[in-house]
Amino acid sequence: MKILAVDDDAFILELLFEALGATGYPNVTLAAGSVEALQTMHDSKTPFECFLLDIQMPDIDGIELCAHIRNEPAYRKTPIIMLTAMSERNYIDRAFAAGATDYVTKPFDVLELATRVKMAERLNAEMSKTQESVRTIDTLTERLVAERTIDLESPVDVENVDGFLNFRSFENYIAMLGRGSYFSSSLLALKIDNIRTIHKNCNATDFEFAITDFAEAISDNFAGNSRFFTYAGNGVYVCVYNRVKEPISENICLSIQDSVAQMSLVYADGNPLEIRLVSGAIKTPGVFSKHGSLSVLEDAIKSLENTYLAERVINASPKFELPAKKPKIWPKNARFGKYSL
Amino acid sequence: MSLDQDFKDRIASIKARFTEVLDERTQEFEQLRHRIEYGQDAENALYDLRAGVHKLRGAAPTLGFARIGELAGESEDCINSLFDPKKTSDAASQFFGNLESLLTEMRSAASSSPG
Repeated sequence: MKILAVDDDAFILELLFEALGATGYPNVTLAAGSVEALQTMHDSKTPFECFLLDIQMPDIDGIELCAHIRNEPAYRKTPIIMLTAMSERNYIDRAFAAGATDYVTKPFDVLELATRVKMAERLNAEMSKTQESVRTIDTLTERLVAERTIDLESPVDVENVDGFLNFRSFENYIAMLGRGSYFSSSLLALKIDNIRTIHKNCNATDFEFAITDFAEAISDNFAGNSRFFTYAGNGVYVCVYNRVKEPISENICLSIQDSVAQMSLVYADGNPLEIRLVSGAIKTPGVFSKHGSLSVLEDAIKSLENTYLAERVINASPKFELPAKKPKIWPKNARFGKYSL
Repeated sequence: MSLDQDFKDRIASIKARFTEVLDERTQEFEQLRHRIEYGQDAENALYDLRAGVHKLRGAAPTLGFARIGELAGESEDCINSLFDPKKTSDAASQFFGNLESLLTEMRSAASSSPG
């Protein structure tokens, strides 16, 4: 894997070079600052496959550099791991908002660094597979393109929506939060209740558009400095925020629902695409939960089932009427993304 | 995954060079402290010192100098508090006290350098 490591400390650069080389990543290019990094990227004949960026550097800091890299079409999805001596959430949040996929805190352990880079490598492998699929599809006929499918249960990556992180980055964000930030965070899961109907009635592209439209509605009502959300698959979105610094409005679900209604979404045949929203209970890490654990993410998703049973269904459209029948009880093996209920 | 002896030797070599450079950095920090104490372009000196201790905060503990990293972190926080308009009256004395502890630790580590 071709890696570009950027840090204004020569010792850290040397350490990175040695540590990555010793753990199976010898193809590392070093840059002593952001300007040098941008020049190196420009001059490189083959693209870099992973970036390691120090956050605090003179002139252009690592967060700004991260945003520059993301603006390059070739690097829109390349893993970017931030290196920081600071545990302040503000820096980490800004880095993720600028497009970072993960971060490592200095002082770093060599094996931990290798683990994070290995994760980036896996992400690259998945992306290559996807890109390969897209290239293959591009060469096929229009009919085959129309037959492209998206698995209902798989996370969908949404681009250019403020606060949205792909599912893997979101997991990294939760897992790597500092202890203080972890325990002051809350998670809220939302589900498009009629996702199966939407999935059944849309082709892959239209389904992606629907997921993106809904993400935009969440972003409009939820985006903030310390707020991120993801799409976990099966109609489930999960939001994380700092309940101490930036508590959310009690009416946020209704606001999102209103925003979606105002979009007047339609299917390809012109029929209205109605979205019904179910929200779970707000989940916070318990006092005995392990710092960095993803259990709170699972709890947030699982709570949707209980909320549904409590009949907290919200209408997407003012014209929509709730069915008179009893709420549906999810089967025990129902799955929300990768999580079983 | 285990790390081989060759890698450990190379890290030891980086650590040795870092120890040698510590003496140079100690002198730089002392000069910056002097400028701050006597008001000679003190604000820029504070910025430079903050950048210097920030680097130490990341590099020193990664190379095994945990105490230096800890004191550098405290110094960085102290400097940040000096820029805070709501700073307490004893922020300056805290800063100088902390910086002296850091310099002492750096001198001690530098004196253990074989070079």
